[in-house]
Amino acid sequence: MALNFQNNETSSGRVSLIIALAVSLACLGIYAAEGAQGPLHKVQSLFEGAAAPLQQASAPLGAAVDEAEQGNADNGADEDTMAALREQNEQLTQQLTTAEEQRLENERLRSLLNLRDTYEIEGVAARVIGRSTDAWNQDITLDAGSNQGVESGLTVMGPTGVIGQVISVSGNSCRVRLLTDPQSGAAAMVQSSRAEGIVRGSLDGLLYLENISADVNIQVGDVVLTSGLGGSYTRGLLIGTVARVEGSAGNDSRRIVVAPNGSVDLLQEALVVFSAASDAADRTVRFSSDDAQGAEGGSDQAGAGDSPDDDGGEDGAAPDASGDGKAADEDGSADNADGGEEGR
Amino acid sequence: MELTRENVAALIGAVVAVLLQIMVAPAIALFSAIPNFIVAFCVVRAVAAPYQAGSLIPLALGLVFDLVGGGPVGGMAFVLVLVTFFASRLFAALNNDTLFMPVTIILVSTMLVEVLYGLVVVACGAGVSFGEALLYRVLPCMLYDCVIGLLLYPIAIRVLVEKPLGQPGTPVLR
Repeated sequence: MALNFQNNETSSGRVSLIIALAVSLACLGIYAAEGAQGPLHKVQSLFEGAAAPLQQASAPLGAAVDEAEQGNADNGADEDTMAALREQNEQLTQQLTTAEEQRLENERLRSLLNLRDTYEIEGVAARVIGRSTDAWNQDITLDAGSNQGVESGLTVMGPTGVIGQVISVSGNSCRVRLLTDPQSGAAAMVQSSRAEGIVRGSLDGLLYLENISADVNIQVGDVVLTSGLGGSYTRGLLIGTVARVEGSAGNDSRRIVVAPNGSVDLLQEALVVFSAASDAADRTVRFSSDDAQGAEGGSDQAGAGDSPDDDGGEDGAAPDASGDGKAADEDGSADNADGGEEGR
Repeated sequence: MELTRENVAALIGAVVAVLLQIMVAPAIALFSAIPNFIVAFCVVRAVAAPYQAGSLIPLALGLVFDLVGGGPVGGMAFVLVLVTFFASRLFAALNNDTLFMPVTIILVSTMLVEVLYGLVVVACGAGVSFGEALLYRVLPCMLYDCVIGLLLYPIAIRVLVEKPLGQPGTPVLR
């Protein structure tokens, strides 16, 4: 193997290397040490705001890629699949007339019973204009910013439930850290038992309900709401339902998987929540059939109220809405329970 | 920095890499893996033009990546400066006029960038273990970046350098 050991490196090259390393390390140190309101965080927020129009401009590309994937999947369908689809199509045609009647009824009911009305939410609706540019952060960019009254720390909801929290704001856009991000953490409670814990995201894309007392009995289908402790997330909003419980009550290593109600992959619009009804945690969301399908079944359980305490917890066991975050602090998860704004 | 053909090409390439990262990368994500055009560009440039590469562009692009992406500011910049420096020096020392050496260095450097950046993110409080980060983020992104880097190298050889590095009379990649 030929080795070229000629010394072409100049001293200026070494100096520039050392300077570059020093600058980057200094940035890293300052960023890690400063708070969420520090200068580097502000510069980062400015850059994110500047990049938002570019992300918005690339939205058609994302749609085209999705369509191409769907088209590719359709082209790969075999004869059996096609036969099944034809049969299904006939059935659907027969159901169309009935469905149309139900749709009209559904629209009327939806206008009365949508999420905003249920929770008496005051907020601003926004369109999703960008998604994370790197693999390490699960966030989205909305086209509402400080000009629309959006502030850092506000809760963001999809059509069927909480999806995340605003972490940075610029003039006409804001960045929302999704619940599924590992740095995200929402103080939560189980609606039926009022047991409190923290819903955390993970790299595998699942939500885990942690810090629940070992003696609390958690059942699949239990509704999980934001508890509002720490003041990070608005209290009483629907996060999802318990999808799986690994281990049993009394077991410290119990893992509780929560199926989020708000699907983010196909999310186009979201609602930034300024405030909600003070008794939102005691209200039961009842989704229409369309919404229930969209929420992958989780909404059914939320609405059906099949949990033991289906009266929405009117037994007075609800924690104080103006909790000072002590519960989250005590379990050593204060940073993430507060939305992880200072997580990095 | 002198306004030579290579430098202009590098600047244009850097801007294109940033635009691709912001506009295209999120759209072509495969599951949890989002390609990193900035890493691919910097590593490929370090190998394609080892004596002209320098530390300025990796530093600037790394900072832009950190600022736009929401990661710890300075993390990617530090990793890129470090790895591209060693990649360029390694290639300058080991170049034997075959395709094996640049390809190997590009692959190893790309992997190294992703692993080191994963370490930085975890160290800065990502809330996950490094094993989990390695499995769910580093490995998928590493593979994606390697593919992008290998696709980019033949283009870089043509565009970024006026005369590829090699002995006189050596056939060049076309």
